[in-house]
Order: sequence, then structure tokens, then C-alpha cells
Amino acid sequence: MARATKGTLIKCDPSIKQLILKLNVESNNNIILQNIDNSYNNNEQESILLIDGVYLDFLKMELDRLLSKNIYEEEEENL
Amino acid sequence: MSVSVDQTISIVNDADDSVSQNEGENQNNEAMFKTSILKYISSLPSMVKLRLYSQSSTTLSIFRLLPSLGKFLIMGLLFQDFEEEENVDEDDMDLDEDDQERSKHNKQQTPPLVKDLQKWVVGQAGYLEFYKTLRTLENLDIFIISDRSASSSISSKNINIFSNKADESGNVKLNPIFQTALRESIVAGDVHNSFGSLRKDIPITEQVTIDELDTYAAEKWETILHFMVGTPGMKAPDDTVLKLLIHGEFMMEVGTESDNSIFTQRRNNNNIDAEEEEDANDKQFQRVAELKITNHGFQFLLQEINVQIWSLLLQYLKMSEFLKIDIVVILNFLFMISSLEFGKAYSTEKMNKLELFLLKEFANYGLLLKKPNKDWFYPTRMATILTSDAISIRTSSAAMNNVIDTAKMNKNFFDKAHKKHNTKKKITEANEFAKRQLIEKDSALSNVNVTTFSQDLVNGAVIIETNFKLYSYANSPLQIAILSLFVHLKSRFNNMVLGQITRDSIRRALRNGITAEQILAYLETHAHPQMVKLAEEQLEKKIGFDNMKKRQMDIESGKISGNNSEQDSMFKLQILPPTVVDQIKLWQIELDRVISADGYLYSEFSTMKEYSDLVKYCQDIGALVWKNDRRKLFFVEKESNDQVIEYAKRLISRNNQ
Repeated sequence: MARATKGTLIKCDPSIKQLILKLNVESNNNIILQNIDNSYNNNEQESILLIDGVYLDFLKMELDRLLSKNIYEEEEENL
Repeated sequence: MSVSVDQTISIVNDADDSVSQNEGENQNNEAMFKTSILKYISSLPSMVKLRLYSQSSTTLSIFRLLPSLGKFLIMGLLFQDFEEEENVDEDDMDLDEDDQERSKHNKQQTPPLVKDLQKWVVGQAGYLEFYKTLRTLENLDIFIISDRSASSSISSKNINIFSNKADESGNVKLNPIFQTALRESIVAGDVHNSFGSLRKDIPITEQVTIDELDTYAAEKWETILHFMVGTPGMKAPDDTVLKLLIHGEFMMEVGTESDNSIFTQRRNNNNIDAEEEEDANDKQFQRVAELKITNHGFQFLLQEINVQIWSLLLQYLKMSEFLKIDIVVILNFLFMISSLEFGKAYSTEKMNKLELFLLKEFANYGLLLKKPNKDWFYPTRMATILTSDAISIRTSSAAMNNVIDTAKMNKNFFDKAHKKHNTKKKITEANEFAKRQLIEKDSALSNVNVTTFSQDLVNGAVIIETNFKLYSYANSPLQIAILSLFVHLKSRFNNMVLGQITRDSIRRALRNGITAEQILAYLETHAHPQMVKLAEEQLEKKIGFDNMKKRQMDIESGKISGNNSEQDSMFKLQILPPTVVDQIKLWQIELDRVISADGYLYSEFSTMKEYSDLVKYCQDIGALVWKNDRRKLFFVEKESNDQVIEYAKRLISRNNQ
């Protein structure tokens, strides 16, 4: 019989998914409820994850922080 | 956003300097705008508050403005009688609060303790929230807390309220006047006609439809906003509105001669006939030129509409206070129109002189529609959303769109005027700003056409380089203010500003609800003629090169080329450097790297039929977020889940039969 699991579905690209997996390990596997293998589904490239909705804001914040690390910030030049 | 949280925080912040709470409205903070009407009421003397609360519509409106916990607490106490309250009528207003308190001490039954009420909330967060709400309510004189253990006298109440430590002692009861009025409004025992008197006998020809009301309100309000933005050619709003804008420091006068102040101008303009309209327009133009938007005013422009209305109305109240007009009447009137039904006509028969005056005043802001010489009026949607924070007609992104649209309009207008200067007379009914431009153009036309180009430059032409540096020939604070929304401005010169588009500056704008498309559209419409020229040249080169290549290919393949005009559409005029365009778009995409949806994941279907039946249903009701046929998984949005489960049960029972 079918089962319904409450949660928040996340669509992202594979690189982001890896970051989420890393964050998940760091927070004792609390975030991800189900890691869904979406490969070969209509040739879509996006990754699908089911997470606990409580962590959504935390996740977005952390992702933003991690991604900002890789941005080259131009130094303030003196005119 | 939760109103309650914002409000309580601001109260805590004010704890140290309770005196400064009135100045709070001057801060450019949306939260401040939102809660300041409650703060304003709190700051009124208790006598005034008691008079306010005698109106049912006012109490209901204030109730609606309160944070949800406050509503909850009031509802809990509303229908509890702790003592006989037979003498709750107008007489009570004459008693001052000390007397009321004393009279209540004599009564036998005691209202619930603060500690008992506190049991309604759970946890530390609830505890803090509870006492903040309690303080707000006490501040508003809605709750009367008696029998305070430490320093319980009413006179020291104000000090108590702003202390950060929660005072857990004392009994809570509702202000009897507030209680009676709110009960009246809820149980529909409205005796004082405070919800207006409905008019049903309006002839059909005179009736105003909802659409008409909406356009009317929007027009009135947009006039004010456009005037503040300084959109050329817009009609100036009524003088009282102008005065208010200056009084509220949304705009300031920058006239050189004090004689030109709008206050003196107004006297001159009092009797304007329709024939003198042109003359009046000239005068109006002079006045318009003297008013400049302030930073405060620009922040105001980007607020949501009902925040805007409230902050203007608050300024109106303050100004009325200054002019010694009875605020209670104004507040009661405001709350009355805010609780009227949208799209219905109401009678003005029972209104007194001041209320009729207010009717005229608020019609200037588009809060209501009243035709001259008629004894009825319509409240507009703007009035009816005053006490609800759910609806917002205009967002900051819409504000940006407005600016872009008007800029486009102007550009088109000038282009047209530039091309056909012989048909210029047709445009005379257009605005006085345009007139002025045309007059200047007329004189310039005899010389060189290029000079008309410099007219456009005044509007803040922008040059963007491929290294994300931006130069804008902008003089007006508004232009610069708009630019500063998404550009990191570095230096300002006499006739231009220099800035840099950075990731941070764009992200800031995106977070404020401005989209990348809007930014690009703004930059494109404000591009410097040189940039347009450069882009045109490049386009020509490209087309030329393409044609050459084509011809070469044709020659090689031995064909004779046909017409090339169709090919022109292949290339678009790229005014902005493609690197900048792409990067801004990328920054926008970067902000939402994850797309999320709340709901339920359905899994472990035993048969494909079971799965496909349910998926089809979900698709039909539009609840399906995602599915994977291969793995028999799908995701349903939260709101429709009950419906889906219901259907699944029916499916199962059908299959079992």
C-alpha cells in the first residue's frame, strides 16, 4: 500500500545536492528524509531531495554562505 | 511577516527612552510604519483614548490591528464579567482613570491574575511574547492591570511598562469602555451608527462600479506617488496633500525665494476658473519645481500601499494635532471608513461639519469618492484595506515598473516630438513640463538638432562599461536614489555620479524585490545616446559582416542572393554590454539555487495502476509538484493533500468491491 511522507521537496542542480549532502552529514543526518535518485527521469538534470521543512531556512542560509566563499570580490579601489 | 514580532521588538528597544517613541515614525523602517498607528494611539492621553474607544468601529479596527496573541487575550476576556457594569456609558468618559481604578477596587469579584493568563502560553518564547503583548495592550489602555505588588499605583504605570523585567503581579481586566464597544461591534448591537449609514436609494445612473472606484483610487494615489517621484508632466496633487508631504518630510522645498513657498502660492491660487487653467498650470509648475523628494520620501515610495497610506495618515494626524483639530474625530472617522463595505454607498446626512471636511480631505488621497453636491460617498478599496495587513496592491517591484514605464513613455514622447515638430501644437493640452521642453526645443531647433539630445541627458543618461563601471549624468536626488538601489555608488560630481555594479549591490536590490529584468530595463531606457550609437554601429557592422559572409557563401554555391532585409531581425540591438546583462541575470539565478515546496511524498505503490490513477487525479486538481513514473514516486502540495487522501480512500474501497 502507498505511503505518504510529510516534508519539503527540493529541486536543485547536482552540485548543490552535494553541498546539501555535506551539510546533512554535519548535522547528524537530520536534514534529509529521503534522497531520491532522479536520474533517467525524462532526461532531467535536476536533483530531487525530500528534507525536513524545519531546516529549509537554515539550508538556504548555509548554501548562500558556502557559495559566497567561492566568489572573487573586487577590492575597493581608490579613485 | 509577523506583525506581532516586529512590534514587540520595537517596544523593547524603546524601553530605555520611552520619551522618544514618537520620533520612531521618522525611521525608515517598514516595521515602524506598520505598528506606528498603535504606537501613536498609545501615546495619546488616556482621556483621549477613552473617547476613542467609545466608538464600536474604532475598537474593532484597533482589535484587527493588534498582534494575534493580543487578539487572543482580548477574546478570552471579552465576555467575562467580573463585576456589575451598569454605568458604562458616556458618563464613564468623564471619570479619569484613577477614579475608575478606585471604583473597581471596591468591587467584590476579582479579575484573573496575570499569572493565570500566562498559563495560556507555552515555553520561554511564549512567555516573552506574552509579556510584550501585555505591555502593548496596557499601553493602549485596553488592559487595566490592578493590584500590582511593587509600585502598583497607576501614576507610575508608564515607568513599569517600559522596564524590561516582566511584572508578573496584578489582575487583568479589559477597559470597560473598550469592552462594551467591542462587544457591541461583534454582537452587532451597534447603537451609535458608528459603522456608517448605508444608502440604497442611489439612482442607477449615479452608481459607481467597483472598477470605477479602483481606477479612481489608483489615480488619486498614483498622482501623489508620481508627484513625489517627480515624473514630468504629472498633475500635482491637491495643495493639502502637498502640505502634508512637506510636513511629513517626504518632500522638501528647495525654492530660493521664500515668497514662492506653496503656502503663499496657495492663497493666490484659491480662485481659479477653468479658463485660467493654463495660467494655473504655470503657477503649479513653479511650485512643482520647488519640491524635492527626501530620502525618507523615497523609502516611503518603495513601501507597500497600506503602509504608505498609514504613514501618510499618521502625518496627517500629527499635523492636525499641530493645527489643534480634534484627533478623536479624525481617528474615529478613519476607523469608521475603514470598516465600511467596499462598493457600497454611504450617507453623509448625519455627519457634522468637521466630518464633512474630513470627507473632502480624504477624498484627495483616494480613500473615498464623493461627488460634489451629493449627500453620499463611496469608500474605496484603499480605505477598506486600512485595518487589514493581508492585501497589498502595490509592491516595490511594481514601483520600479512604474518608473520604467514612465521613462519609456517620456522617451517615446520626446522622440516623437523631435521628429514631427510641425505637429507640436497638438500636444499643447499635454503637461506644462513638456511644454517647457518644447519651448526650449523651439528655440534650439533653429540651431542644431543635436542640442535636443542634451535634453534627454538631463534625465540621467547612464553609461555602463564592460568592467561593470557605471557613469550616470544624473543630477536629481531621485535618479541617484534609484541608481543606489542596485549600484554601489562611489563618488558624486557636479553633473554625474560614478558607481560600480557589484554582486552585493545587485543582490541587495534583488532581495528588495526588484528583478534583474527591471534593473536591465531601467539601464536600457536610461542608456546614454552614445551607448545607443555605439550599439547601432556594432549592429550595422554585424549585419554587414553577416551579409558579406552570406554573399561569399552564395557565390561559392553559385546562387544569387535575394533580399537581406529579413536577416536584419536576426540581430538585436544590444545597448548594454552582454557581459553585464548576463552577469546580472546569473546573480539573480544564483539567489534561488534551490526550489522548494512543502507537502507530502507518496511512495511504495504496489502496482503501476494504483500509482497512475492517483497521479492522474493529482494532475487534474493541479496539486502535483513532481513525479517520477519509473520509481512510482510523486509529490503533492500541502494544501491539497487531504483531498488526495480522500480520493485514494475512495479508490481503495472501489477496488475492494
